Amino acid sequence: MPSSITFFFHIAAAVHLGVASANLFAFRKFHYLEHLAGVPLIVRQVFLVQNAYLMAVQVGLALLCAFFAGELTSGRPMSVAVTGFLAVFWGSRVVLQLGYYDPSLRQANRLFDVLFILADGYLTAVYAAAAIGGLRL
Amino acid sequence: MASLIGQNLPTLVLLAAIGQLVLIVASLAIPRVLGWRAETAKLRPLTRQVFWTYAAYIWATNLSFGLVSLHPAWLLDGSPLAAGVTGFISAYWIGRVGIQFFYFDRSDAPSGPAVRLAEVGLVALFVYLAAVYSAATLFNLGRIGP
Repeated sequence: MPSSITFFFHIAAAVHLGVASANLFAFRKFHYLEHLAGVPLIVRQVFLVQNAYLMAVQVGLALLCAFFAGELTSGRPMSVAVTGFLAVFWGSRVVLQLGYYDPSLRQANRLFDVLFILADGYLTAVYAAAAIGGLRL
Repeated sequence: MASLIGQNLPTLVLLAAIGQLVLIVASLAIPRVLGWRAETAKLRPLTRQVFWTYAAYIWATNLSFGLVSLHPAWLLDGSPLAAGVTGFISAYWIGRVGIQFFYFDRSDAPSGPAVRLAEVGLVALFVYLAAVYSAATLFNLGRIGP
């Protein structure tokens, strides 16, 4: 596995932090809390907990990319399992962005749409490269 | 005691894997039990789609923890990566226990013995997962041995 992939993992760490912080920005831009005012408290709380947990997962993955890039490309079963799963995880996120979110909403928020596709696509490519490279070692 | 835990960690991690896989199957019923489809229908399309996307990704995250734990040797190999992953999973479940007790307002949640029993089972599972992955982290850091 070329050591240069470490560089791509460090960029992936920054991408993860960017996506995590975008969630905070999205709260204000899309007025989630106002929209959630009409649903029962438990549904509102579940939404907020899910959001917080996904942000925590993003920060955790950023730390993984920043400090364990060498291990992620070591070719050990654990590394291949983690990177393989994350490749599927982020690849499916690209599919969701393109196939699940309402086209009119994507059109109305084109900048966010493109940034998410690029970010999720980049993460998919980096994790897939690490998983495939690990399998070849 | 620490040595005993260390010796049995592979089995405890495997049980944690099974617990998480049972959890992800059982959690498929949560939207129906809590009426999420009807409740989220009141939301605007974007907020509703974000809600379901979040739910799907939390589900996938739990699935990943269950799948990787089916191979205890990978998670307990003493490497920095194993310590980082088990440390993250333990923080994830410790936080989930805290949220259950200190954040969720269950006043308008469904009631009854079955729901109560399910909640007790769920919290017991979260506590077990938090404990096992914390022990696994200490094992990977060399603080407890086999």
